[in-house]
Amino acid sequence: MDRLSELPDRIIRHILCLVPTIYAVRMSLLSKRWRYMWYSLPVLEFSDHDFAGAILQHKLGRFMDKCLKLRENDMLNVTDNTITKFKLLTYYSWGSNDVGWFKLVARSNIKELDLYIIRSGDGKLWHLPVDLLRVSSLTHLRLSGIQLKDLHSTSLPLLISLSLVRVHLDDQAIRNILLGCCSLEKLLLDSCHGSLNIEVSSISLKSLKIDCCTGLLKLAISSSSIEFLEMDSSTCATFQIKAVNLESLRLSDTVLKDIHSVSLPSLVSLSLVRVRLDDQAIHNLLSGCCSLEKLFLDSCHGLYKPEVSSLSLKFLEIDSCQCPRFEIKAIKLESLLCHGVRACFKLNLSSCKTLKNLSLTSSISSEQGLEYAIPRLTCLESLTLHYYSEWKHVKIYSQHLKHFFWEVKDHTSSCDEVEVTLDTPNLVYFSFGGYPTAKISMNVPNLSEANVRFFTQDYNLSWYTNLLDFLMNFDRLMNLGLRVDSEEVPI
Amino acid sequence: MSSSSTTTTTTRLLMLKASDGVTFEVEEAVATKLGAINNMVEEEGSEDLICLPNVNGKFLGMVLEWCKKHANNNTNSDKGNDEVNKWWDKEFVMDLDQNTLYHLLMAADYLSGTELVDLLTEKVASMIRGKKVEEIRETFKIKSDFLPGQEEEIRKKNSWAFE
Repeated sequence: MDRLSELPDRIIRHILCLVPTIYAVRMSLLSKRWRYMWYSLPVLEFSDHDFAGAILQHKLGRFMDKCLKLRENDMLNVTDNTITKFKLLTYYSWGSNDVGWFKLVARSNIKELDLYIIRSGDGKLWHLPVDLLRVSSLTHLRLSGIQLKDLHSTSLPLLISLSLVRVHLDDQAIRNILLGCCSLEKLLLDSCHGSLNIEVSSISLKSLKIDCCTGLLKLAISSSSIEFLEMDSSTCATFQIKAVNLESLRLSDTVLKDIHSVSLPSLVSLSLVRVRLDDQAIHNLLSGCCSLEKLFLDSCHGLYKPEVSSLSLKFLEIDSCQCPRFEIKAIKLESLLCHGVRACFKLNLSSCKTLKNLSLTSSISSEQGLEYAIPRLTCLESLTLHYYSEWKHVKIYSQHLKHFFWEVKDHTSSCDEVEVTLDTPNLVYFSFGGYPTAKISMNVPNLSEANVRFFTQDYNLSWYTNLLDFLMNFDRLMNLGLRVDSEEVPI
Repeated sequence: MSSSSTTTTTTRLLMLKASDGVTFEVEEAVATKLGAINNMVEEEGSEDLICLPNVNGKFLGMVLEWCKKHANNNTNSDKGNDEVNKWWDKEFVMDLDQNTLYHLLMAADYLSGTELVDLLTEKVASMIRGKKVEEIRETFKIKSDFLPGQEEEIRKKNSWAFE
């Protein structure tokens, strides 16, 4: 016998479950070994692609009907004809008359059902057979491109995972679904547009993902079981959330008009990426997160003079958020990173007494000036200034500073004269990137390592003189790294 | 530049003995990618020599090569590594002849290497997809044992599947 036919039934079935069912049926012509093999496949997959030519819907419907009927009737040749997974991909909308196959599927103790309707030929959306939402054996259900309006009762007691993609919903439908799925752990709403009021108060739901749902009027979550929540590319007028066990939350590309009734006592990490929200909204959000330790604000819009006020926050990163003033009141803050802020950005550092790590880029300025603020940050260990242009002359006095990173300018821009005075008795590491014209004077008795990177444009005699002057600062240092960004500079 | 990837700390080594007597010394973390061996290790505890009478050395070697690749990446798993693994898997199954594919599948199944079974069955499935029945028969050299006319009868009876 050939090698494929020699494989045990179990493995052959495994293979046939990976190909569209029509292949398995046609392979019954191969030999007696293959004659009834497809009768006992637990996974069935049908698609318009299986057929060539016109009137696809007719052919596909007939094919599914025949398959399912044969399997149900011919118990002589197969011991187990249970369908665990049924997948249908079609371009057509199905009328109520040609869903005989559906009744057979519903009878088969099916666990996973995936109906993927791409675009109905006549533009109409398929009304789901009502019975589907009462198939009590279902554990996983994925519906795409259908209509679920005026839905009355739902009973899917074993359903664990539900994905609704491009499904037309109304408030009643979503309410009944959530009520009827008492074991639901995972819910995805993707591209379900429309003025929906969604209230989630499940005690089983662990993961909720809302993707590309625009026009939501209200999303109110009150759940003690929820552990994962993500919202992306959506708009929501009113957002309320009470979730005692949620530890991490990410909102991205989303517009949130009003946020209130927030209670997230376990939330440790919050990311807002390209989110439009106002000062009040961010205040309401943060005031409900009493354990928050990490906050990322990346490219958020709509902020004017926001206040980040938290008693627990340890790590704050602000990237490309444009607003004239930023108030930070975080008495436990250890690390603050601000980059890519273009507008005039005033930072108040006076309450950040525990700050260990500070990194500033571009045109951020501190309220009283960094020169005033830095000596008062008594825990500061690491300071990074990238393309920082608050002054030409930087004086840094800090008792505990250990690491200092200083990048003067992008090497595409013109040479600039800058001067730095370092009075940092405990500094051990110094890193510099810029032009040799930079002047530096330092009181750094404990410096043990330095890395210097020079950008060049015109290297001439004065470039070398400057270079030598600059390097004189490190003449007693054992560990000095030097790099010049140019192909042809002889050192 | 980077030194050998074998871990230096307390890694237990197992001896696997194939049906033809060939033995392989492998780290426990590699061998336990196979469910069957994982069970044996957990049950028997101290036994370091495991006899596998249903797999011969050539194919056991290939299965273990796969395990080694996938066990290493368990420790520092990230997206980049996943991508590398996928490429490696693709190359691994690319030029397998049907005889090797058969023996590897049998070995992986016997040793409960679920992920490897998935990889190999998918390889077979990819050889079926898009082909007509006669092309499938040709690809796998499957001989018909139907009586004369029987095949035609099945085709007629199931005409709905051959439209």
